[in-house]
Amino acid sequence: MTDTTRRTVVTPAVPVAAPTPAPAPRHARVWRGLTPWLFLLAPLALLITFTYAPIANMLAYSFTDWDGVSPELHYTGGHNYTELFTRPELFEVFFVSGYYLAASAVQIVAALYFATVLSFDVRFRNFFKGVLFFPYLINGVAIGFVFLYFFQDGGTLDSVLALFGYDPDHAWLGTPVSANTSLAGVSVWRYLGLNFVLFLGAIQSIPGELYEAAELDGANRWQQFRHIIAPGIKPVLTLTVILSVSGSLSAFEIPYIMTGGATGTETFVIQTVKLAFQFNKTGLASAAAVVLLLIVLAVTWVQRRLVPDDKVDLV
Amino acid sequence: MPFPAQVDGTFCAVVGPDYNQAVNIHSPHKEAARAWIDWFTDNSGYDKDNLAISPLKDAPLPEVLKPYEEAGVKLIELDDSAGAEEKLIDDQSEVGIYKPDYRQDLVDLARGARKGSLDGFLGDLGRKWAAAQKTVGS
Repeated sequence: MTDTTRRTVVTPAVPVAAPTPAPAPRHARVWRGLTPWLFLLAPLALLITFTYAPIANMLAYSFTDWDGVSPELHYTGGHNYTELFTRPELFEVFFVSGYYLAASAVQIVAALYFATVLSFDVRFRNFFKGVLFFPYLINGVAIGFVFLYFFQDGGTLDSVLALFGYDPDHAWLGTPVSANTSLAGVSVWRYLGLNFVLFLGAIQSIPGELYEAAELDGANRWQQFRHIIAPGIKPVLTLTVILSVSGSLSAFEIPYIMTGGATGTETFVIQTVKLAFQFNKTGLASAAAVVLLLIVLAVTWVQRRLVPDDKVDLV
Repeated sequence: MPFPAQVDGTFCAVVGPDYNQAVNIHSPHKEAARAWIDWFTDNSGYDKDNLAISPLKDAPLPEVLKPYEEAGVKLIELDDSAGAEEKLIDDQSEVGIYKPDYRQDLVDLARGARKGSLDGFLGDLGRKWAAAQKTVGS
């Protein structure tokens, strides 16, 4: 019997290749490549004018004995650099930065603790976040003056300690060790909020299901921190470490306002400022600034090699 | 009246300049600037308004200084080039005579917040000064 059913012949649809678009006309291609650079023109101009050009000038001045005002420059080669490395009093100021380095370690740990605690549901969360971040918004000079009152004899710190019956009669800014510790403490108070906010943002970007899964698996808070939070915030952590090291090397505002660099609290940048503007040794000060820049770059490079920026896959 | 002390029988009084005037070497209008300075010195009457001694050599002393003229006071103009050299040595040696730094260090030394002795501290300052004195090109 003949098959009377009409069999629709289904030819497999030949995928018609979409017609390749004609290559864009030449000037459109040029514009496409040029447009990002045009957008970047303004910020690049500002960057070059206010950052790279002055640094290049500073590099040039560091090889002279310029005094900052006279119209003539004398090239002295690397004399400024040898002076920096051979005069002990110029290099001893780096030991003061050690106090700020230790303080920034404390600061990072405290910021991490607060960020972890406040990323979970705690009552008055926003109030605590505000209180922690608020000091970062205040002007550094104002903070310096406030803490001068805080640390003076019979000032705020002494009064509060007296409330607890503890009367040490200790001049907080009197000896080098005590003064540096106090100033480093002020620095911690000021910058804790910034680190805290950075860590909080990083922690909150970790998906919440991971914590649920971990709790189901029976992990306690510390284990959750070690295995979920810590790997997830590694990039922010490395950034914070770099910022802390460079910040403690270039601590300036707090000690300059509070003690003016006296009593062994002179930091490297205070010394550079004094050299440049009190003793008119712009060449030497420029060399000092270049040395600081190189140290920060070296620290960044070392840190990048030790803890490379690899992608962490949590899920 | 001048200061009541005489040197070789004459009174002395120090003359000090007011603001200094100059024509900028990079000025595109040097003649105009010079003309202004000439007018200011010769014709403006600034010295009369301020009872000051005129910078012109042949101008008479102001009325206020008539008693000086009668007493035969010798007017001395101080030359501060030695002061300029002192500032140079001060900067070069980083001693800072007119700055608070070494005084802060001295107070720290006195109350025991800084190690050292007074003789050592002052001797150190003197050594720096002497070393700078040799190198400052004079």
